[in-house]
Amino acid sequence: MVYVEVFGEDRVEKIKICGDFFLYPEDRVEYLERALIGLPFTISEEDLCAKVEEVLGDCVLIGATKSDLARVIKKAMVRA
Amino acid sequence: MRWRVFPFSEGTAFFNMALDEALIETISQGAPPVIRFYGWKPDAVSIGYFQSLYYEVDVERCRSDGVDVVRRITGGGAVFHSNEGEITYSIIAPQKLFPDDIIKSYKEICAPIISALSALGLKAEFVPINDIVVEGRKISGNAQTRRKGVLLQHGTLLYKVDVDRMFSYLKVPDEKIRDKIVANVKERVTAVQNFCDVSREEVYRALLDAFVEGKEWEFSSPSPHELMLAGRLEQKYASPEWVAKK
Repeated sequence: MVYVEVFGEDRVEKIKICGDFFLYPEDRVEYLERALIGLPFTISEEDLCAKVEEVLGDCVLIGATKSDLARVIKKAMVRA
Repeated sequence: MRWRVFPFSEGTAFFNMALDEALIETISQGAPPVIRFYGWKPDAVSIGYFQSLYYEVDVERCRSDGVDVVRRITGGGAVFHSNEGEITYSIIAPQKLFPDDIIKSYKEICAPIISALSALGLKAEFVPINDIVVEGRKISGNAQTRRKGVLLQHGTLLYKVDVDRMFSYLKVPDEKIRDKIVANVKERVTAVQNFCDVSREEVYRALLDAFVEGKEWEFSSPSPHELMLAGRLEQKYASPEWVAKK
């Protein structure tokens, strides 16, 4: 299960990506959280997915896919 | 390669996690690999590296009952560690000793747990990603990280389980269906005591024998340097900044 909380008006000011997934190396999630700051909430799911792919690169994600992650982030942006 | 085996000992959640990380540090610098067995005193909840403390844990209830809460450096879910209900192990060794493929390495490291259960008369199997089940019910959960060329895998083998108590400390995604969720977990989780009348000591012996089989090894204990590192790291693991990091 992946939970994402996004804070901001129309752009990401802060984001928390949480859940019981496995990501190797683990600290790459913090790189991802930093890399998403400033992104407009209007970003397409496709562009968001490309960004997640770019930051996570060859990281191994188990328990979710990178596109799952992008989808949950986009949903959290819509809700924010 | 001669393995160091640290026999069963009890420690706080903070010390247990700190010692694992200290061993990653020293083994990355050439110290011999370690298999350790331990218990949790007092009872504790550990949460995965990526989990939100407040989504997962009833922190107030833990505090009032004297249950420690610690964040692991490994991913995965929240676990209630009861002092009398489980045996925990860690294996900390150079990554090159194991398959690069994460699932394969889980399977390889979990194999001795399956052998130990077999020695106790239980037919267990590995279920990817990282579980061991008996009759389709989870009896052991495991989590792994790889840092500085070292692989750490820690996991628990449930000796006896009290799901109601477990969920008095763990939150559920939807409180409205808590009873249903707890009932579902009761169906899916089991423990050694549900199958055979053995002592925890016997379970530990079976685990120990299985983990050391085919290895060159000796009983050992953390070096003074490892204890010093663990002492420093213990402060990190007990700090609100780390525990409530998410």
